[in-house]
Amino acid sequence: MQKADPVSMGESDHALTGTGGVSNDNFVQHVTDNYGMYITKCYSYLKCPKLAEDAVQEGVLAAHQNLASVKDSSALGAWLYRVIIRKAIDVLRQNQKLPRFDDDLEELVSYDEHGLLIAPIWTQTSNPEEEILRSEGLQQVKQAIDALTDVNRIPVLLKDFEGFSIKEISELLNISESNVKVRIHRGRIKLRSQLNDYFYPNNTDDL
Amino acid sequence: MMPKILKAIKFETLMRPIMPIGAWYFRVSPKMITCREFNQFIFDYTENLLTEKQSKLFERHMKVCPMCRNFLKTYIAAYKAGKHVFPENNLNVPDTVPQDLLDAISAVSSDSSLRKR
Repeated sequence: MQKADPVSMGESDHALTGTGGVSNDNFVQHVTDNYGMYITKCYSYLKCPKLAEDAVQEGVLAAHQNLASVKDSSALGAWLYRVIIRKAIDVLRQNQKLPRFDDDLEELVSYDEHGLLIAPIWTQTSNPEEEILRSEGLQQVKQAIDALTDVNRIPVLLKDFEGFSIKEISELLNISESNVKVRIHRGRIKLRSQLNDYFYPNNTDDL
Repeated sequence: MMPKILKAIKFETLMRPIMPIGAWYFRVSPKMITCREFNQFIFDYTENLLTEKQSKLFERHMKVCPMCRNFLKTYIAAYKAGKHVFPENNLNVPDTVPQDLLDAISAVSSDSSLRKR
């Protein structure tokens, strides 16, 4: 018998087969507890409250139809969340808001004629992650993520914040795996350069 | 004084017998990559996708280049910090489940249990 992959399946792939290892009440309770979080997460992709609401509702219904494939109730939360994020990407595509992931040749990092990085030798702190995580730093990170263009923001959100694999992102966005890697890498570089003030003392260069 | 016969022989001629050893040495010996090349390896490094050889090249560059070391440190810090950011619900959307969605779920559930019977 073929084993169903609860994360990668499409909503039309499975028949209505009942509720498997997760009860209907458990599902409803889960949706009720996390509904607001789903909306805000979907909003970070769709940038439209109405579309975010639609994506969550469609995602919840699609997930409910495939509830039988979840054998373990402890996996319900992560599974449901990923189904909803997948739906948000579908809604982006349906509304033709998914960006074109074309080649982008703009150089984001400065090098000299020998290919050596032009950057300060010293950083402000030995632990930059801790430095950012101070309350104002987090706000800055939030702004930096929002400031990324969709082309970089969507792959970075999917990979670094939602934990999708490169292969899954490549299928979701319908682009090659190498393109996914480039998009994420460039997104991370842009994110880093937006947070330069936290890393380098008296930095004036756009490095 | 160097004998005349040795003077007549060119340096390259003298070295020729040991040149294959030199070529072999350069093939197996560690090479150094530039910062630009280092940057191209960063993503694969963070995802543990580098081959053993690439990994050695990458780490060797990191040991000698403080700029790239800091670049990598701040690159990782930036995207890891993003995981701690949670979007605030300041949208004009209620965060309670709408009744029609709950009705739709229960309608499907009852339909499904009827079908089972």
